[in-house]
Amino acid sequence: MIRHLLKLVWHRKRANALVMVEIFISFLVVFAVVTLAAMAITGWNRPLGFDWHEVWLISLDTPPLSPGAPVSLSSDDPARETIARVLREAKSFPQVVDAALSDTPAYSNSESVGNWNRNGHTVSLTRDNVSDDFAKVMRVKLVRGRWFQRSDDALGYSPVVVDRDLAREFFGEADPIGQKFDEYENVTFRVVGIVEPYRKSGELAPPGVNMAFLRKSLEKPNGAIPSNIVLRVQPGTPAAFEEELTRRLHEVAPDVPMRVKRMDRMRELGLRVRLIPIVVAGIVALFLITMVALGLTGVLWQTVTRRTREIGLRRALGASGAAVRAQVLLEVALVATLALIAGVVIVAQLPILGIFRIVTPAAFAMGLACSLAMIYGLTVLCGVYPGWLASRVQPAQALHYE
Amino acid sequence: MRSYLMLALKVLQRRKFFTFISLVGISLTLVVLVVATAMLDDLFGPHAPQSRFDRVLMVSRVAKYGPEVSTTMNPGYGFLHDYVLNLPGIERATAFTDLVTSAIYRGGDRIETRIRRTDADYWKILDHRFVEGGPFTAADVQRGAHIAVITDELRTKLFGPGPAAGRSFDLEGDRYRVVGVVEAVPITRIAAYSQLWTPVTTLRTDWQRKFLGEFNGLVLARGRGDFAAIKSEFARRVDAIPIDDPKTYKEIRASIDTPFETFARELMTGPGMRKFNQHAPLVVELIIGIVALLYMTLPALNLVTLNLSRMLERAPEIGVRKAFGAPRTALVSQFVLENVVLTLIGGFCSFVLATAALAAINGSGLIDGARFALNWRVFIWGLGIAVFFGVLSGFYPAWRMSRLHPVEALRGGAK
Repeated sequence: MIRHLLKLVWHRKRANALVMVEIFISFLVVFAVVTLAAMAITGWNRPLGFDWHEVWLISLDTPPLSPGAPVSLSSDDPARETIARVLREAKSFPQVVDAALSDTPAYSNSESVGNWNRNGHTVSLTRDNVSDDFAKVMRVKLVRGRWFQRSDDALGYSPVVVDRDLAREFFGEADPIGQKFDEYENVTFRVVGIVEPYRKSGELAPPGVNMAFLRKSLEKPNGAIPSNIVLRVQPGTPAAFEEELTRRLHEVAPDVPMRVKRMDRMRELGLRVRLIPIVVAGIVALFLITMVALGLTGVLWQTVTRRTREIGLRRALGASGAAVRAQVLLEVALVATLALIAGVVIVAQLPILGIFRIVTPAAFAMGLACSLAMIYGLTVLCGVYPGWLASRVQPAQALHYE
Repeated sequence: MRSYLMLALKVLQRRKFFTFISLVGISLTLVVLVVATAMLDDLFGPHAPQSRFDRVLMVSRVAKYGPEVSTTMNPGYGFLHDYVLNLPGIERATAFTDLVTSAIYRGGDRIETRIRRTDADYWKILDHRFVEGGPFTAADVQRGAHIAVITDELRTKLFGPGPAAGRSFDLEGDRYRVVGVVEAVPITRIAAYSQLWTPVTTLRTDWQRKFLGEFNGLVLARGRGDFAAIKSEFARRVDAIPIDDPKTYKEIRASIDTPFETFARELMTGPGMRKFNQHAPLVVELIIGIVALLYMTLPALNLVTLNLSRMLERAPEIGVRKAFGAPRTALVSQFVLENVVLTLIGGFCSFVLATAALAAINGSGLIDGARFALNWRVFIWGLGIAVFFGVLSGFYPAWRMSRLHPVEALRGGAK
């Protein structure tokens, strides 16, 4: 049966080739959009590794140590005194649970990324410079080892906390605690703790942030001091407190412009920026698919009208209406299958090209399965009405045709 | 020609279902392209309060390149003062800061607002509509007056209904007096947008001498014809800038661009993208063109298959015309014309749909104060796209049709 149908399809190869190209491109479009959506959905359900509720952010406009140039770790930041004063003042409020420094806070749109080489394999990672109370403010979950503490000032090396993703990529199965991490200006960095994956850009950002926290201390010179303060306030703190806080902070540091932001608002904006492209792509894909579906119905309809004689002959030789309908549907399905095989072959190359660095295998599989099902469903659906038309062809009328 | 047009319309009426399918396909395709065009026009075309944007040039990035470190930042005021504001042969120039988001606290409320610091010429290049008071003057800027221009939206949030000129508010530890109120500006007006403007002299940081910083320069030329001269003069000046730390940096680059070129350069700036920098506008134009073309491929294929399957219906007609000696070019042009008529009708449908879509986007609040609309520029672009699409999707079926052998065609069809 299939063999016979293949022959029929081959016989009308020029018309079918165009339909196949159409289905092939539609499949790629649907696959891309569904995978994007699947990434968003799976991302939404994975834990963030921190808690943004009741977190506020103070950004200070301190002059950069020396813009662009690498900052020496032994140099002293002239803004350190001011930042320390503002931090102390912020902590003194009863409404503030805790406060800490951070260079590139979550949802802030700024990132510090880099590569590190270990035993010949390069891992890209995201860094943030934070102070000791950061874990308490952001409620970062410790998995093993310890977070930074005050006594770290006396250590002969610089402590680093990495997240689980980075620990696995870097050290594999080996125990990361105590491992040397990096070296810079004769300072050795050593891993002291591991935290849950910290997804600093939020729910919809791609996985594999590979976070590394470096410790910044206000007690001793260690380069540029982060100019953002994250603070956790008591639940239900009113906006009026924000005004009081800003006024007091302006009083302690009159020369430094600063502003208070809220992480829930930053999160909202960040999510919107990431959601808009998915929605737009979805709408455009929907348009394309509607178009293809309508076009395919038209083409099949036309084909059925053209093949009235052939169909009439089958009916005259005793084929039932259902058998004729099955033939039309199977032919469409066959053409779709051929197109989808080509599509899957193309898509299967993506993991080799390293797509799993951006897309999780789960989202990839979900995208593949959903788009296959959608395209199959759609093409068969397009064949239903023409198939029904074909099944109603009367042998006598058909054989009369010419 | 006229008879071809009449024939085209008759053919379309003959098979209503196919005409409908084709029209839906064409309209859906073109609506997306028209909406995209309208958005691009909104961003880069001259629209109030950027009515003079067809003859402005901007400087918004200065890059310092070294063997190890590269820094790309906004120019500082010092840079603009030395190399941009005093360019010869221009009508006017202004320096203004990037937007900063801050909050004003009033009666227990937190009012979030964007702030821009500008000089006095800013108000002469951009034509904000003042509903109350007026802009601050050069003298106000000179003496560092703590005064502000706000939008009517912010006025309502701050002071409720009624006039606000002369009233005051506190911002980041300073007290400002309102001197003017302007109509709210859509966020898509990149230079004109803000909610609050204060004189540049109210900045507390050491801004005046800085080479890199948070400023943008905007130059108003007397006409577009002067662009080339201004650009080459600016390039000459940039080449002559002494490098202050030649150990770290070897090269300073900056360019004075039209708004679209600025946007393109911004898109193409990034690690490893440096070589593109010179040709960034061209590259972005090409990318936009290719994306639009790719986007049209699927609908065009769709239309091609539809047209091909309709071809048989017309076989007797083609046969007759060929038998009476019509040359192939005549047939091809007739069928392409028919297809163009179809896409043009689809194009007009898409203008109606695009108007609705843009109104929906404006109303959705996704883009602050968006005022996307169709205008004659978008209309002409849209028509051009529709005709292009018609030719693209009509040519192959027309060519196939014209190749039908007359005998076979008269008999009623090939495979």
